[in-house]
Amino acid sequence: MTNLSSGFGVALSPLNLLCAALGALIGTAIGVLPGLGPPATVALLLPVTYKMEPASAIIMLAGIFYGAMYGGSTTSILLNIPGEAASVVTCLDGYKMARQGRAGAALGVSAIGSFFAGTISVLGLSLVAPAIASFALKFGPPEYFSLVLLGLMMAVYLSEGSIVKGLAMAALGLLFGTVGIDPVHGATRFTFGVSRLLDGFDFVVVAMGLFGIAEVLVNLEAPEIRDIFKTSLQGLLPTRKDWRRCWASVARGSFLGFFIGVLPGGGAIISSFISYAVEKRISKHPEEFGRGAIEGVAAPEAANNAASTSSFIPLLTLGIPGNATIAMIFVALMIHGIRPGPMLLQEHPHLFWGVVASMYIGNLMLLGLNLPLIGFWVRMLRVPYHFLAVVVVFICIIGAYSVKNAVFDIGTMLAFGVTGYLMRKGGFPPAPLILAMILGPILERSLQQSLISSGGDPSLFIEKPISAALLAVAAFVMLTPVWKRMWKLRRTTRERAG
Amino acid sequence: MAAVVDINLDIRVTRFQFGRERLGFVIGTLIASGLILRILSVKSWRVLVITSLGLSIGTYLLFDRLLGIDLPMGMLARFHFMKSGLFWIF
Repeated sequence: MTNLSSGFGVALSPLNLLCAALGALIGTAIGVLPGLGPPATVALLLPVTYKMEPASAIIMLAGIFYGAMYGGSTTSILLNIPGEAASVVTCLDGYKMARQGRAGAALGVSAIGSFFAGTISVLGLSLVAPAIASFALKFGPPEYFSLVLLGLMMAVYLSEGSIVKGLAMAALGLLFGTVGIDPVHGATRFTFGVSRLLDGFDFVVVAMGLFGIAEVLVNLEAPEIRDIFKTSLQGLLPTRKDWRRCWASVARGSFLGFFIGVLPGGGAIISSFISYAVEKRISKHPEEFGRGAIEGVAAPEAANNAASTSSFIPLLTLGIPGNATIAMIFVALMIHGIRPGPMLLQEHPHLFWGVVASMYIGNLMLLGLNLPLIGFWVRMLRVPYHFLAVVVVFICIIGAYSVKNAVFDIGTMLAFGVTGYLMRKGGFPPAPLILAMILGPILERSLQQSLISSGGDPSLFIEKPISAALLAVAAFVMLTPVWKRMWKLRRTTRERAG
Repeated sequence: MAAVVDINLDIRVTRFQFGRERLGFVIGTLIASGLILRILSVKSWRVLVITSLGLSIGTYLLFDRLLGIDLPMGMLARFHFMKSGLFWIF
């Protein structure tokens, strides 16, 4: 607890308070605006953080992530447009509620539910993270290799879309991650004699292309729907009857979101879908879902907020980013010379606890920010998308240039942008690619280190108990689609027989 | 001979070029953003001019002056004296 109070000391400094507020504000804005997701925004703001203190930078970027979860619900409810992917489910019941003239209650319950979930999740983070970090300190290279492999498998398995496409993207990401000089032997790989490629592809450049440019290209194609549904925002606070119906859903959503967020590859999007499904299954009146059930708004909104906070746990304790936004925060830490991992808590306690404390404060700010400003956010939607698009393109160009002051990187970024656009068109998820690109070098280094220490004997990975267990889980995750299919097959044959 | 080498270098290094001088970030952004907005079917000339001026100067002020990222100034570099003194607030 002394740690946490010192964290509040960091987070409450005027500059860091400003950073948290700025992050929360930008996060809400991009959550409201469709066509620019949290990973893209964090990538865009990376060059802004170059000159900042590391703690301030992470506080701001984290604010964007959980702020977006708050903002995303607003457009889902009022306009049936999810501002970001984690709010897709909120549309189902939230928009119906708005149509029934209960927009206020829906917005209120999602804001207050998000606040509750965020707070629970931060509490969980500050309790669980130190324990995980101290456990992870026992990890040597073999354990780390297995852990990263498991993380990668989970990220592929839980990514949106088909698993085969996810795997393909992860393989591509690993391949991109090998470009440059081999970390152990110093051989150059895939540079084709281009000296600019000796350092490999920079994550900032790749992320800006894959998330920034590609998202702009995809969104410019989509027709603009700005049919703003006029509704009175009277009665923002849900009634007591509403609360009696949905407090349990908020609590369930929070806990579910927390646990799913911790899983690599989990995070806000999946947790909102799963918690909606759970609510529908255990509800006494499932027929109301999809027709404006308040539980269908409360639970997923709580879940995505809890998950966005808890997905910081694997990053800050194990050094493994679980989703694309967290991957960008990983990159931000690397830019400031901080290696995320079990040592982070010991080496940079003020950063860790400062960020945790800022999340408490940020959640409180968002509650104050969100409810009174709803009218403003809705008005912001009237700005045509192409203005936002141009700004994003130029910030991407500046960002790519600023990494090494090289025009070459702008070209690389645009190439990845077009690649990302084509990937989206083909239904290939971009998140596994960037995660594999970040995890690839870690995976490779720990593999080489363990093989050097064992004299080239791969049985090391199975002989160490922790590593063996992690590999077993990875294999299980890998084979889940097979189990599922077998189980389904058996059930259908049994049904036919019976 | 030296002059030939120099020209080659210029062509290789920069995209926006005006004679032997580079346009630099601000002018380049001004032209490019105007073109992009025009392609994205912004019809009104006033909106075009105001947006691209605002974008190029705004990003320059934000990233170069405030955040300390060195953007290439190209032909505008001769006005470097404007960087100091009371000309800009920053």
